[in-house]
Amino acid sequence: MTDQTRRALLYTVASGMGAAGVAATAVPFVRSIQPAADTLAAAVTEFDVSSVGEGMLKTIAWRGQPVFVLHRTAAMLESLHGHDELLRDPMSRAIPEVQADWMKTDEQRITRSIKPEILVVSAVCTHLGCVPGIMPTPGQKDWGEAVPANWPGGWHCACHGSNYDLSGRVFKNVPAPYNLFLPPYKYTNDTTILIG
Amino acid sequence: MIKKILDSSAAQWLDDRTHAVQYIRFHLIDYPTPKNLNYMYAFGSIALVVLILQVLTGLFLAMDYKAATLPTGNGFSLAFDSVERIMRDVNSGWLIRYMHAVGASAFFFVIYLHMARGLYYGSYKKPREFLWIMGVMILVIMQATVFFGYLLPWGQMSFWGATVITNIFGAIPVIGDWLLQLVRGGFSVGDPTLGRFFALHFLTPLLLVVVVLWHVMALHVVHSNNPTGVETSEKNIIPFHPYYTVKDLFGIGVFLIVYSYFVFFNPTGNGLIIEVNNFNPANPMHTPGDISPVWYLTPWYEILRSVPDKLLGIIGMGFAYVCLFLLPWLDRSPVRSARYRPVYRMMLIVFFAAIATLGYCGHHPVTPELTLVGRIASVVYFAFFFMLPFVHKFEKTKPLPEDL
Repeated sequence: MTDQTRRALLYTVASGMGAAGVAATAVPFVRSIQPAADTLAAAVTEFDVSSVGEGMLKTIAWRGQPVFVLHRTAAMLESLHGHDELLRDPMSRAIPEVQADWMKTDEQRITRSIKPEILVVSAVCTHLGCVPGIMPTPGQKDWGEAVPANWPGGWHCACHGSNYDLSGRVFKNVPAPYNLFLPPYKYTNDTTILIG
Repeated sequence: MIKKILDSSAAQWLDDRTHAVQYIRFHLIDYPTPKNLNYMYAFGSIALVVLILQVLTGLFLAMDYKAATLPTGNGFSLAFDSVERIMRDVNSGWLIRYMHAVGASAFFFVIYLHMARGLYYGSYKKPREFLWIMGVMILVIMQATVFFGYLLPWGQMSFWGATVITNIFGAIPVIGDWLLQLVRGGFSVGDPTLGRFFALHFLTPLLLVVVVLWHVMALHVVHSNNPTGVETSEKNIIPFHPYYTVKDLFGIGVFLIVYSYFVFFNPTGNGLIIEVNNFNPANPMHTPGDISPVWYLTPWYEILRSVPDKLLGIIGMGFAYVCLFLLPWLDRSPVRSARYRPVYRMMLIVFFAAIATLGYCGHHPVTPELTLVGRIASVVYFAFFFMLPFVHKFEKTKPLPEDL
């Protein structure tokens, strides 16, 4: 080794260690702006679904974001069938967020709920995060041109015109890429759900 | 590698439009320095590192801190709770807070050594008078910053420290009461005070950064003094890079080891860095038994306490700062470094001892003995400045070297 290569080695090692030190110092700073323990602890919400009457929609907060709880009538559940060709992902298979581990049967993939009539679905449009408005009745009678003529009933996002049916399944030819996400939830008794 | 980057066409392009490369060369690479600077000269660079750490940690703390005294039960407040949330819930929040708290003490430790270096080698003398004055300005701004910052956790020491210090304004004749309410935004230290102190705790560091940059730029006009205090010939001048970049980096490394020891193993510094009583939430109805300021403010506080008169005490403390500002003109000896000034050297050692004594007395509860010691130390502090204009008349300086 010549003096020059020794120097070069020392220079590389010293500046390498310095750079590693600075990078290690950055770690706690980046960590500190990630969600804090109390924020994560607030990520569980309990809700009594019996408070939602038949045909009613309630919007509840989970992790600071809205979640739809829709108590579907028999007619609403009926409306979920027969328009698969209009949907982008009728069986909810695109990504993990639109599925759940309790989704076993095809029927569950259509109703997208543990109890068929109680739909619990994220109220955040998968396009850019607006809350879609519910337009439950079929056709354009109540909603005008905002929805297509063969509208089965569902949600319409006023921000950029995305449409979802009453299971939160997204239509084709709209900006939103995915069905409304399913938050993780379970029934702790017959009428109480625990989201998160 | 640095040479390669600065010589690159991209750097050249930027330099043609901003002189960025010229600034870097002038201030960080070519800056001519005497070859005999010892490690006492590393504290300037170390202070700069501490300043950056303080700004960075402060910024991240401000993201989670809440400046409000709104009660949250059991005598706690939103501000106090938000600090505890930083300690317990925010990821690495404890580390960032302790870095900030230890950093405040470290900043003063480094700056006091930096100033002692300047005093010892006569770095405040012509042509560096204004450099010294900017340094004292930096000290005053730092003390304001730390005072504003200490209120923020809204603990007992925060509250009572701010109460005592703001009362200083109340001692000013005629406009005192009006000024006191203006500073506090109410009849006592409270929510409005906390809000404005938080805002000011952001403003003063901004001023600090500006004055520090000015201080560094001015240094690079008058150039560094050196331990001999004599002007250096061209052959004893070496460029800042690589000689002092490496030397300063080594000093910074040693500093960071000591700093890390306190951050990780003794963040409260046995009550010196964060006082024990500040872990109790502020209670306007009850003053703790012993309220003394944090160590870096105690010498000034002790001067205030030594004078048995409210207004005169405050004037005395103010005068202690005025003396520091006037220092370049009080000392009339043509010789800079204390190495060649036996009388000044002795005076300086006694002066440093007096400041340490003042600091010790100010940190402990009042007793008749300590009051007496504090008074003697106060007299010694001022005697140093009163003697300075006359020392050169009888001091036999040692022969100065021709060159380094």
